[in-house]
Amino acid sequence: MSDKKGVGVPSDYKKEAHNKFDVLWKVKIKGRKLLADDIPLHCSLRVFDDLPKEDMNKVKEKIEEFGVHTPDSKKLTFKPIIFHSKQTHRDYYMLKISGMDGACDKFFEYFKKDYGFSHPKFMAHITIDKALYDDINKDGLKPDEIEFDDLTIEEGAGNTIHDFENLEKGFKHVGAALGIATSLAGSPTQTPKMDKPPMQTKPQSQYNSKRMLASIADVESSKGKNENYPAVGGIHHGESAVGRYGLMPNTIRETVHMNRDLKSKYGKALNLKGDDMRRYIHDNPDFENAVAEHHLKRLEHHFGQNPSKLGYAWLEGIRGTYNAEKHKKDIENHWHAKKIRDAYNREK
Amino acid sequence: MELTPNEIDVVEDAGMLDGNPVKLIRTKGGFWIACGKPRGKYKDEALSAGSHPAIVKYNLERAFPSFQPAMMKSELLSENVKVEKHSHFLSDSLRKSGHDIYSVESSGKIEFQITKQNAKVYSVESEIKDGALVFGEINVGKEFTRALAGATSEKVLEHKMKIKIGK
Repeated sequence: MSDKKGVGVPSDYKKEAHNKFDVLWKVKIKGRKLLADDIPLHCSLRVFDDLPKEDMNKVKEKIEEFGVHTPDSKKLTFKPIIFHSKQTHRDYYMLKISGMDGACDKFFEYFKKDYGFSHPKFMAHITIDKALYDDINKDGLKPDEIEFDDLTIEEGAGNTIHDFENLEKGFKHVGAALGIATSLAGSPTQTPKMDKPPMQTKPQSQYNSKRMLASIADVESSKGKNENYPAVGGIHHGESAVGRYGLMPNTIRETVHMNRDLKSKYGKALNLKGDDMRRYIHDNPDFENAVAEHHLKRLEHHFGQNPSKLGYAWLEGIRGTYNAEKHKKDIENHWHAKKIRDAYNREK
Repeated sequence: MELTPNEIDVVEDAGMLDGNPVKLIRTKGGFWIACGKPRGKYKDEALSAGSHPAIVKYNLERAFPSFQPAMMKSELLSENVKVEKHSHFLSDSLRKSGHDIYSVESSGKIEFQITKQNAKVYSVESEIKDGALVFGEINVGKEFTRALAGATSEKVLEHKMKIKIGK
């Protein structure tokens, strides 16, 4: 099935997914996370052409006000359909969802006008490809084969700029701690009513992104002391990595392209190649740091906060890491993953 | 660097840096120097220097992010003057020898300046006219042609213009 990944997903859909802002839940269907390229399978609540700061704040406010939560797939029904868009005159493979909470309709209605193209009504769906469509039609889809991730705001596919549930988890941990404290004090406690099943508490992670970046800089260039990188073939067309983090020019251009702030401030980097990019990075250390931070954030989003896996992904890219996972490659013992992990453990 | 009063042509208030005033001095030779007292220093010192006041201000703002510019009398320093550095198009050897290339844009004109140790080496003037960046005579050393082409293309892409050579 993986060889046919993305078949039936129109190119304009991919382009929009990369260029627009999206309030969405990423979903996993039958163990699959990606739709096509680096676009995650997802269920959009609302797509925005643009999302300046004030609108972003409004989105956050309304999510809270209307009480939009991550749906429980057991309470939903899913139907594979082929949807014909009157706007684009194209067919889309979709998983139509029924039973979404009314809060989603309220949110959609609120942002219906003035934020870009809108369907007349909220149509909960997940765009899928032909392979998934055929698979679901053939074998069906059990509720436990579909998982909804946190509600997030994405600036371009896979580039999370806000995670609602992370904040919520934080509040819930505080609430849980307070609950324990009061019960220890002998006071009767009342479990707060929640629309959503309580989340599983995860052990507190010691992971720190700044420490991770310092480890990467240490491994890649001895923190800027040795920035001589060999030329790389394939998709990199003979370009070399640049700067203290050993970023490939391709990665830099892609990161700038996907981030509105970087694009408005450092848009000229989109047209730079090879030595010109290397010198531009050298002349603009703030730019280099910003790109490295955004790129790491993206990798964290895909692969979590595991230094070994992030170290591997820094070298092999998102697709390369997913491929390695798929082929059950021993990432933990890969030379680059080990180097990054060791540096991370050394780093304070 | 020492300057005698005889060598100074004009002194202007450039702004404030960490609570201390910054002065912009033009020498009689046409060189510009920004002087002030950075945090932790006891004496005034040259903070930035160059052949064009807007370039001096640009480098000053980059080197000292806490610098707060004052309203300038000089037109060359007004908010409408936009300076960009394009030195990433210069070869490593030219950069090592202290060369830079800047564009200075104001009132429909873009001047490209190539400098060495902040002193002007070449200047190429152009004009924004009918959706094109129009150049007259281009007279630069051949080692700078690639960098000038790069700087020009960045400005042209920024303004979505065409390039026209010869008025």
